[in-house]
Amino acid sequence: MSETEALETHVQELRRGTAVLACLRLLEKPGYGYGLLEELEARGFDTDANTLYPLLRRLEKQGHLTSEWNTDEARPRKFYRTSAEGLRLAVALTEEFRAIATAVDALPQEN
Amino acid sequence: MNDSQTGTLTASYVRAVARKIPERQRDEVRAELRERIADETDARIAAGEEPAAAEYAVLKDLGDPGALAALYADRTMYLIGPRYYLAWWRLLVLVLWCGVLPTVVVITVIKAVQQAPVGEIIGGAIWIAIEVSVHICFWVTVIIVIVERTTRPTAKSPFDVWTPEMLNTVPDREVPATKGEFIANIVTVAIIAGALLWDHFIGGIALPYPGVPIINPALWPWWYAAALVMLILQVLLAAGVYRKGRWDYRFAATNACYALIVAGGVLWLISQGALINPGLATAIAERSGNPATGDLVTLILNIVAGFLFVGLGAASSWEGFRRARHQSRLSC
Repeated sequence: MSETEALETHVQELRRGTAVLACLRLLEKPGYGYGLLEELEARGFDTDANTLYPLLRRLEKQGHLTSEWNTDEARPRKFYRTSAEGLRLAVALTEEFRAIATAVDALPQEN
Repeated sequence: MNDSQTGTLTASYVRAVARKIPERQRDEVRAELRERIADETDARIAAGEEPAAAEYAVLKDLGDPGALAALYADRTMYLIGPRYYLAWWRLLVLVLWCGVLPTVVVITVIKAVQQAPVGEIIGGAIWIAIEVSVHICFWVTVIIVIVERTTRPTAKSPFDVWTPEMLNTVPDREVPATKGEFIANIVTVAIIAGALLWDHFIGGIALPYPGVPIINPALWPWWYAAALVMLILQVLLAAGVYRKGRWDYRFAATNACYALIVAGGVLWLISQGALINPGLATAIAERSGNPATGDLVTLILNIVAGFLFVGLGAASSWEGFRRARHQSRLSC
């Protein structure tokens, strides 16, 4: 495995959890798959479509998101929204991320 | 995007995915997938791609419909995952040992008692070993695959009952080739040689038939000479191991070849009906008044000798390699 490949794998692992948090936060306002994908990218949470769509389904199955089909426009779209349970999860995850950031800062610094 | 123009590929793709989705989720997945493909295609068209090329690229990115369906339906795409892999492996090894070995022994003994030809006995043993192994591998795997799919992914494995008490507390001891071992080896060789000579010249070892050897006297002198050579080689091998102070792979390989030659020689004699003294059967038959008894004793002696030499040879070979491997691990 080359160095960039190794880096990519580790970065991917590191970011996996952040996508969940970003989705839960962003979907406090209802949103649909592709729109969310673009917004995530714009906000610096690069997420692969093949990761995002199954993730939304999983979060919905766990009750952290609710969904509703919007048929007002020509193309029916599934709109997701963060549930009360999802909001609690988002709070917990945010705290966890802050704790991790603090812990990382407290690590011995490179010279 | 005009769905009717570029939609045929998409429709086929959605159909291919939906076919592999459980009925009650199918409509939902179908709709979600159409939305996703349409949105991604539009984005590509907006970026300047031709509609047909855009649709093609999106479907190509989505990949194998079967894999996508598995992802949407939360289906496992492996036979046995890490959760049950160890359980599967241990169960397999255990059942193979407990199943194959006794079956082979029982079948061999039954065939031998039925006086089947030697070729048929050996062939039958190999065949039954393969047959039982295949069955065990298949059924153990089927059971674990079912368990894997019927338990919740978060559930603890029902086989996951390991505790530190299960550790082997006997520490990995170094296994040097000791002087005691060497002496024991020489004594064993001497006893065997003595027993062979006693049997040939005096006869009646452990049997109430004075003067009747167990080993076929027709094997004198050449097979006895061969046995003597093998015994001397055994001493030389033990001496080599003792001098070096430990086993290595060369000793282990030599030992395995040695065991193979000895077991092969004995099996050859058994197959020729030449190992056991025919005079023994005659003597037993005369005394018991039943000719079948003598044949039966000869048969049992043959079976015991066969299993003894094959078993001892296999055990000795295995032990040699085990110690060589252990030694090579200790030295690194």
